[in-house]
Amino acid sequence: MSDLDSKDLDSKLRQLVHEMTDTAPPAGPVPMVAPVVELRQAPRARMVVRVAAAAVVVLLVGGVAVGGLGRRIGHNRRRW
Amino acid sequence: MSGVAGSVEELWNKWGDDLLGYATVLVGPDNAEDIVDDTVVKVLTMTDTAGDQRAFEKPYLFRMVLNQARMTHRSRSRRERREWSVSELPAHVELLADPTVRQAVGRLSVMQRAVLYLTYWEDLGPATVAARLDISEGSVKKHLARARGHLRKVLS
Repeated sequence: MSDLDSKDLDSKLRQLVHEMTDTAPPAGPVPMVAPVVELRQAPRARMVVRVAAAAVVVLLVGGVAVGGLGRRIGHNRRRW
Repeated sequence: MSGVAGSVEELWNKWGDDLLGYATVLVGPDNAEDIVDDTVVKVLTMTDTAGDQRAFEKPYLFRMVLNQARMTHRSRSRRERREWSVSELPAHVELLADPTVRQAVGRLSVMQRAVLYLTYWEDLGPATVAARLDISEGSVKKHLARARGHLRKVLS
């Protein structure tokens, strides 16, 4: 078989791309509207996780701070 | 919600066939629907939760399909090569009926297929293809040259 010149190659590639496009499945109804409900809920779930994480951090920091303060008060009481 | 769904329906009626054709060139007929479905879900998310209307512009929509195809291509590429070879082909198909051509097409990268589609189906020049794909004109020429070189061997 001989090598294709540029024009022949362009023409064959055009035909090939058209054939590839022809194998596409037919477009049915609008696909998948249902997942939107799940996706809409996703930001709310993220928010709940963030609030819970923030609450845990606040409790930890608060606990450490109160504990430290208690130790300091106790120390001062014992000292005087 | 109904307004957005209406818009997506319009988008689907207008571009549904083109999107499926494009996705078929990018990933083969068996995965095209999945790619387009995922893209439509993304469009719904963009418009519904973020109010982003860019997805209703054709170039942006086609770029979303390309990105979706690139994301899934790596994990599915081996299966795609098989699927291209066993897919049911329309009767009038001539070049794609040749298994060596289908294998060669299966070995092209998603970007090379995208450049082929935009060049030979939409008849766009390298500058427009570059703008559509958000890459440089040099890259378009490189992808096209590699795809042509690769397919020249099996088409001659």
